[in-house]
This record gives sequence, structure tokens and C-alpha cells, in this order.
Amino acid sequence: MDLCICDLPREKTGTLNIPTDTKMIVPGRIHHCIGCFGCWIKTPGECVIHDGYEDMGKLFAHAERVTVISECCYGGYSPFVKNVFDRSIGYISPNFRIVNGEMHHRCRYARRFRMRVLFYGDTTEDERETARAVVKANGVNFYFDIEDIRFAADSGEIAL
Amino acid sequence: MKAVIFNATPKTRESASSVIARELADMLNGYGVVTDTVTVRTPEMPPDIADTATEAWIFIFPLYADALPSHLVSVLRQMEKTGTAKPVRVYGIVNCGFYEGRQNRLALDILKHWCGRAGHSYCGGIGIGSGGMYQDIRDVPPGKGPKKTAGKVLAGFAETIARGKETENIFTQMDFPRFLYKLMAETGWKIQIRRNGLKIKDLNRRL
Repeated sequence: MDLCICDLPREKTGTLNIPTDTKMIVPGRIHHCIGCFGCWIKTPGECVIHDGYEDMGKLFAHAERVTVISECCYGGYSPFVKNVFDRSIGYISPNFRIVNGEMHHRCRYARRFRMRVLFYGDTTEDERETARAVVKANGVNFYFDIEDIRFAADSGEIAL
Repeated sequence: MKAVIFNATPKTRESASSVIARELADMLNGYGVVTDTVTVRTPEMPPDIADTATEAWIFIFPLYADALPSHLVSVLRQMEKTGTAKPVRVYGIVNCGFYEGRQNRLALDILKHWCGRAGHSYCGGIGIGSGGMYQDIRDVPPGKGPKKTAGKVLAGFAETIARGKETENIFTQMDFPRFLYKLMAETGWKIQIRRNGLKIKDLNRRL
């Protein structure tokens, strides 16, 4: 399964030529993560907030490739895309391991998926550098391999 | 001088960010700085932030997925669009559950980039690691025990803020062995999942 996390409204995703069998995660009434760790100690692997975005960990677990389309906000993801990532930590284990001298979470699933991130919006070189570093850091913590990180001046210039 | 401390933990109960906010407020008050602590728990911008008497904003928050929690990104966007009567000096304190304080560096970079967009001056930050135990040792005075180094860093940071100065980002963690921190954290997860009626092996349940 391919997954696409996109902060554009659904009506604007039609021009992106996203394959029809791609599972789309688009903006809706999403609650923000409240830091309860329920996805680790109450309903392991699944967020306890049932608003339609509680299955992100499971979706990552079954995804071959994830495409993120996000406005670049100050060198990070847009609030919606960041919210989806915050709500996805059930994908990883609460336990730790040491990687390259740093503490990180262990994986819950013995697998990796491919990730491509398409940022759009006005960005500075410093912001782009930070955004690339954030995706790389996410790759370590969420166990994905980065396929591509790209930047477009605006959402109309996004090319998959 | 007046400073506003934004405590941006989404948690309703006491957290590492709350404890750090309180400790910093006490230190700033000791320098004669008037502080106002504003809780930022939701994606809505707090009211009345455009106080022209305020000279410094200090954002204190937990690291979420290598960056800022999403609700804080929402609030920062609103603050950027709304603006304030005059630029302020902005400082950041990020804490993370990982042992190493350096893992907070990207969150501070994002805060710095926000300052560039919003017309404020980024004046430095602290990244605190092993934040998972900060709340547990909330009664240990800064500068003592496991908070020996972090407390001194926080005190120096408070002086920097009070004097209106800038600093490089500083990264620190609890004075506590990493292997013990890891062991205690993992033991904590086991205790908590059993309290919820599940088995220890459920910590690694696959869906």
C-alpha cells in the first residue's frame, strides 16, 4: 500500500496525479497529540483519540511508500502534517536503543518503508537545510528510507 | 523588564516543561524581571500577547517527532500573522525524552527561523535531554543532584535573558548515567502498561 499525507484540501489534490489506490491522509477535524503516551501503554500501536486519525501507526506499518506533501513552515512541516506525525508515534516502540551514540526508540515493526517529502512554499536556504535535517531525523526515529526531499515555490508547482 | 514565558506542553498534568517554566520564572524574578507564564496547550493563540511592555518571550516546550509539537506550530503561525507592536527578544527551551540534549537542536532552529519570519530576534536556547525524569525530580533544586549541570545552565540562561543578551544554543542533560536512565524509563513503561491491565509484551504489540 502507498500512503500520501497531504496538507492540501482534497479538491486540490486532483491535479497531482496521485494513483487512485493511494491511501490519502488529508486535513479534517484532527485533534493534536496530548502527550498521554496512550498509544504505547493503553492501546499499543493506536492513538487513544478517535477522530479518524488514530490508525496512523498501523497505516505506516502496512505502507510500502509514504509521500508527504507539506507546506514548509519555518524549516518544518505544516501544522497538519506535523500533527499527523505527532499522532503516529504508536508506530514505534516506547523502548530505547542507542544508534550512532544517540538514544532513539526501538521499532515496533521489523520493516522499513520508503519516504519522499515534497515541501512547498516560500523558503530560505536555512529553512530548507533544517527541513532536510528534520526529515533525516524522522527517518532514524520512524525507520524509513528517504527516497526524495524536494522543494517547490508553491503548491501549484508540486510534481510527483 | 517584563518577560512572558510560554509553557507549550499539551499536557494537562504537570510536565517537564511546567517544572522548567517555574524554575526559570523564579530565577528571572530573582533578577527583578516581571514574568507572566502563559499556557499554550491548544492550537489557538493565547489572547493579549501584544503587550508592548514585554521585552522577551521564552518558549518552553517538549520535543515531538524531532521538532515542535504541532499545536505550537499553529500558534506560531497565528502569532506571525497577527504580529506585535514591537519586536521582542525570543528564547527557547526544549526538553526531550531522549537522553541527549543535542537532539533538541532542530526544534531550536525552527524557532529561530520563525523569528526571522515574524520580525523578532532569536537570542538563543537550551536543549535539555533526559527530560523524562525532570518532572519526577521536580523537588530537587536546580543545580543539585541530577540537575547540577542543567540547573547551572538554566541559571546562566536566566541571567542572559535578564540582561537582554544573546547566547549560543546550549545542550545539556541530567547528571545521571545513560544506561540507568534507559533502564528506569523502560521499567516505567512496563509498570504503566501493567497498571492498564495489559501485559509487558503488549508494549511491542503489532497491528
